[in-house]
Amino acid sequence: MKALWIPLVLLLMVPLPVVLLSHHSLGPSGENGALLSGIESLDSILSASRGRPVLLNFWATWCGPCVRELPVLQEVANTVGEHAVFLAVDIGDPDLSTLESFREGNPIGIDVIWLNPSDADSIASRYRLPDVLPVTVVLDGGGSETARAIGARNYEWFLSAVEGASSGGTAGAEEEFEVHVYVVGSGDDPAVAALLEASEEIAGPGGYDFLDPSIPEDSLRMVEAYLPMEGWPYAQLCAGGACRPPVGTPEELRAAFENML
Amino acid sequence: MHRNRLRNQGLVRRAVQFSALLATNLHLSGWVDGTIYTGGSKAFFIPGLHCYSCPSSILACPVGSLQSLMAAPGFWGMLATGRPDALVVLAVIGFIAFFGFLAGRFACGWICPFGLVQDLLYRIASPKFGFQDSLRPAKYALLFILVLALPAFLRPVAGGAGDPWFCKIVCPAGTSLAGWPLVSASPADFQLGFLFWWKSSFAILILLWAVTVERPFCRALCPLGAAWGLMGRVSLFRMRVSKSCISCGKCEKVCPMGIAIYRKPDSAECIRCGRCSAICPVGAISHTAGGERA
Repeated sequence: MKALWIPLVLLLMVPLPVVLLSHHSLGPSGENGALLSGIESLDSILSASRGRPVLLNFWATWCGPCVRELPVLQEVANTVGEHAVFLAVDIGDPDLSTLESFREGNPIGIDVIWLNPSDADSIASRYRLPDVLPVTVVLDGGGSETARAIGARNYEWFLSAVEGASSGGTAGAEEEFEVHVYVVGSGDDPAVAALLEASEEIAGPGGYDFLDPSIPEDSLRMVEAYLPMEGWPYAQLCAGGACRPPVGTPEELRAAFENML
Repeated sequence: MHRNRLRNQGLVRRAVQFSALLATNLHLSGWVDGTIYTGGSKAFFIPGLHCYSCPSSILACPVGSLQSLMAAPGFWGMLATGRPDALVVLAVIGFIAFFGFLAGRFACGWICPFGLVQDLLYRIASPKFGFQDSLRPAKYALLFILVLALPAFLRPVAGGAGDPWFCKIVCPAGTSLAGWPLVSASPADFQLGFLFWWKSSFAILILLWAVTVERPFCRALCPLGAAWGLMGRVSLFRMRVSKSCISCGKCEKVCPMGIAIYRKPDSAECIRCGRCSAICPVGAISHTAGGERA
């Protein structure tokens, strides 16, 4: 036979369709990635990742938009493979145990780094992070920031940011800046009444929700919105797909709103 | 006399091959603890097919690097905008072109670790067979399909990463010198799937083939050899056959690539090993900067 090379090449191509089909079955693994802690761990990963883009997603367990964004990040990480590094950096939970409990019920496939409040402040200062979550910062192979998002983003945004096609700047500014406040507490608590009054002042009559944890339906909504199930009364201010940490007084709420603007 | 010259030339070449193997595989502890060297020298390439993930390798494989770079998400966009991480691909191409236009497949015969592996396997006592020449074009198909086209253009998920297809589904050098040692060192760290068993089976077949046929992988399948071979047709350093050639055919018998060099001194298959010039009874074959038919 004069062209034995053709069947040989075809034989070697046999795994091609198998691999391509397996790509389509990729998705959230349902298993937790690594859990690390401390600024040293973060710096160590950043140092080892030189040469590849790094996506840092700053989040916290009490931030609904952050939690809903994590599976999207996982999907992008599956797509990109080892060409980029994805890290979910928890800078909003003072106790590691909160994160550990959260991961038991909500597996996070990408690696998570927990920072204590002191480390979180250092990192917030280093990356000039605003006091809202989530914030995503994308670094190129040399460690320089190439893209930033304040507030949740979709699959396409993350993918283009990692590819380096996304321009810098806070993409959140392009979105509608819709303010929403969750007020959580007991209906007969005067502190709650004060928070509700401040919320209406900030977000308008339809711009806030009052949730009483003792009412099963409200409790369920709190779970769905990933609101803290303790520490009430509190109010959490969200806008443009990003949320601020819960606060306990009308003054803190107004200050949070002013800072967010 | 010519037999002695052939033996001496073989000893020199083997010494160079082993020296090159040692010089490029200084991270010997990797074989014990199953780790990959990640130092700064990994930014440079070895002139040969040698997996980045080989535990002792301190250099990167040009074929693997080329595929990995082109398979990066947004590669063409990054290249167009001059991103340094994409421009490295030009360095890989330049590296391959430099060696190719300088001396064709010289590195295959004198430096490539997988070439040495095949040379040693062929010394094992066993029945020896000829090579089916109609398999030779396969390496060009693998070069253009699995090394260049698919990594550069095939994206299983739009906008996502591609794959280094030659490394992923074929390369027996990667399987035998990287995959097997790494899996052996820490089996618990790996989930062995279809691809591992497919590539392992293929690598075993190639190694067995190399016991009975001289350098079958180089002749039929090596994409780096294919690229260098094409460049070798016009390289500075190549074979010259003078008019004193008596067409005795001794050079063809000792050629590890099975070439009748006296008929085709500019063959793309020639690995510049020099065995032909050592055996030639009339000294008609030499290395020089130019080619000439007898």
